[in-house]
Amino acid sequence: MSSFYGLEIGKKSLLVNQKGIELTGHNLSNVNTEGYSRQVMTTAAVAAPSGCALSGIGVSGIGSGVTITAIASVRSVFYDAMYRKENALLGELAAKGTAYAYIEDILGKGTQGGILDALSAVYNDIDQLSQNAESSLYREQLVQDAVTLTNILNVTASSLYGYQQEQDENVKRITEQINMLAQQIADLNSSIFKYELSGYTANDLRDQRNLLVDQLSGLASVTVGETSDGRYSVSIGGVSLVSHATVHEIELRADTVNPVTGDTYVSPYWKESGIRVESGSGALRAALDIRDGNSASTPGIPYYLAQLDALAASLVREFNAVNQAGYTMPYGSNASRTGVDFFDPAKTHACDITLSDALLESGCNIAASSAEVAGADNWGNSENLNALLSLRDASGLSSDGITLGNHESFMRAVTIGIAITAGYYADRAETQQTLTDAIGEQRMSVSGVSMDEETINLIRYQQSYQAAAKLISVIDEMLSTIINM
Amino acid sequence: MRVTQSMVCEDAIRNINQAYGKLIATQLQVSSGKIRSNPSDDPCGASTSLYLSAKAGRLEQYASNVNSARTLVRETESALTGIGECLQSVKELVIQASSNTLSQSEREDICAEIAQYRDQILVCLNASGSGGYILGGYNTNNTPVTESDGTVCYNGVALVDMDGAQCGALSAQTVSVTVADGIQMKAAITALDVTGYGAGNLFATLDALMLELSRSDPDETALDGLRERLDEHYDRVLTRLTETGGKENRLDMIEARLKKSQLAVEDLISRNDDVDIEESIIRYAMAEQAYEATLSVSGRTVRTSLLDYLD
Repeated sequence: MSSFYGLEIGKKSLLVNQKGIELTGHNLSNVNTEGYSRQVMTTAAVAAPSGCALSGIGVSGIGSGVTITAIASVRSVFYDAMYRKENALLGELAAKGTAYAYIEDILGKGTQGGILDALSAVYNDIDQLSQNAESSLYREQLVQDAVTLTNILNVTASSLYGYQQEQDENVKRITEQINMLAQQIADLNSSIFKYELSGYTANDLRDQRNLLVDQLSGLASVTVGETSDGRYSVSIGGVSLVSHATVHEIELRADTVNPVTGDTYVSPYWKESGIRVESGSGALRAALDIRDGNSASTPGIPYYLAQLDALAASLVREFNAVNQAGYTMPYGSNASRTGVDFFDPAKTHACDITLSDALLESGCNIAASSAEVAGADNWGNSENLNALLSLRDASGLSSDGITLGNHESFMRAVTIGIAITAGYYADRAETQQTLTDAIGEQRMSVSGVSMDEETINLIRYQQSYQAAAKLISVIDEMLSTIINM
Repeated sequence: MRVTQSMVCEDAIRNINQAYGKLIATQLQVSSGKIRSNPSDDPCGASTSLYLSAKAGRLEQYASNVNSARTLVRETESALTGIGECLQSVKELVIQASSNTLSQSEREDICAEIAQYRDQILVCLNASGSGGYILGGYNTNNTPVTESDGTVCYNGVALVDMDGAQCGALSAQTVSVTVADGIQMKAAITALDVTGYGAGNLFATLDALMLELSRSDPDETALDGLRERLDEHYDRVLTRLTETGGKENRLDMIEARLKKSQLAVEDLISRNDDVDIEESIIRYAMAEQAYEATLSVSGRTVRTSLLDYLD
């Protein structure tokens, strides 16, 4: 066996421990890098060279030191998948929580200055007027409060339409973001593939790719796969978004028309197959649900608008029927008339409901009387107003297939309905946040850099390095001793 | 489980946020005095709150209705009292005139006095209040009881020509006021309820009396009959006065009950919506303590590492 065998062992040890120190440095400097997973070095003992089993002193050969077998990222694919699943749901619930809280705000919270208040004011005015039907002061007061009611309905509806448009923009933004992330992942795929052809693992590039997939998972439910030869793929709803270096783009197609405003809304479609993207959960799903949801199970803006429209349509229908049946009060050169509308009968949506021109012209056109007002007759007659007043406590009103009961109780139900939905999603978003955080923490517990751990490694490698250096100096002395004999 | 610095940091940030959030929420409650800032904080309580405030709004409207009904009842009462006094005086004058000792000219003087009271009754019937003529039914804008050439008309219909059905229909034309859930009240009466209708109406009776008394030799039997009719009219006015008094009593009772309900609803609203200040301040203090404890513990944990103990 060569006299320099020990020097060779010392050299390997020096190199390996130096690498260890460098790796510790790399880990430590990335302690705060998002998505970074700690890397560990695994080493193995190098077997004794064959053919020199006998070293002349009758024992088997001594191994020839240490070598690095791998520098690998510590990462759990299982936690990655779980985190992405929960993160997708979090993306959806958090977006919905915010959206419903905003809708709750728009609907006026049911308290001061809301639709409910305005409705009550109108009914109170009717009650007041029914006691003083000849009072033009009370008539004007009723007209003013009815104008306030229509204004609030108009403003609320247009705020909801505005928010719907914003959600449409959101769909566009999210789709763009998905395409962008897909492109970045595809680029990284080819970089990683090329790098790994050399036989090494592209730890840092893989971390970057994982981070991009994490971001993607907040937008839509994603699944990932990797072939044994390192070709990576990402799919949404079972359809491939990225397969290795190829991106299958998502494009936007206008497919929904708002029946009231005539605005068109876009939805995401797979460019190649023309099939609509089923995004599972994620922020994309939230934006689409809020924009299009029209059922009690997925209540979106159309659902709440339909309720406001039902209220508006019912107000127009019921108030007009009563006002048409009664007689107006004469004013100026206008004699007492019957068949006058209260609201404009052509405008039956919350966004456009308005008083009839006759009423806007004069409160005298409120048909309080059940008979013609002329000469000395019926100035104080308010029998027809009683029919309006009885609407207040009605129980069987319905409109557009929606059961209202009466106007005030319906508006109360709408207010509480959105409050329950907003509260439910706020709670769920919070729970989901906790769950996602917990999984994120477990993942970090596996992959995260611990400074204490790295500091200890640093000392360990330093000491090993010192020991290797000592070994070399001992062998050097041994060699000197022999040479100087 | 491995614990890394960034886990500790993120936990610390989360805990601090949570404790701070709680502190802010309690602070909002104390400063606004309301338990809920959004209905979604507690939909169940918010639903009760909406129901109660609707109820309170109704009660307020009813209270205002009761007030206007009371005004009307009082105005009616004073008109009726006036009419009652006139009729009382007329009755005394008729008794005085029926005495055989009076000469025709003395009786004619008495008739002139009766005519004065007759005019006064007409004025009382046309009394007006805050909402127009009070005894005119639906006719609030024009003088309800008018006289031309000795014919007295109510809303343009001559009293003598009126039959029972017509009178019933016209006197039913009064405004009703809602004073409680489902309870409507007719506060006003019409002039017809005082004058009666047909040939025996109040004015026809007075006219017949005056005609009889101013004769040179009044017919005792006819006078007796007219006196009886006068008594009937007087009794009717008294009955109306009693009814009106009854209405006022009823309004008093309704108002008392409304006040009680209003207080009860306000109390419920306060219990449902308002923050118990003492409790909130204690909760605020607790939240503050929790926040400070979180800050102090997190601060210490995050700061230390192995490096502190290496040379």
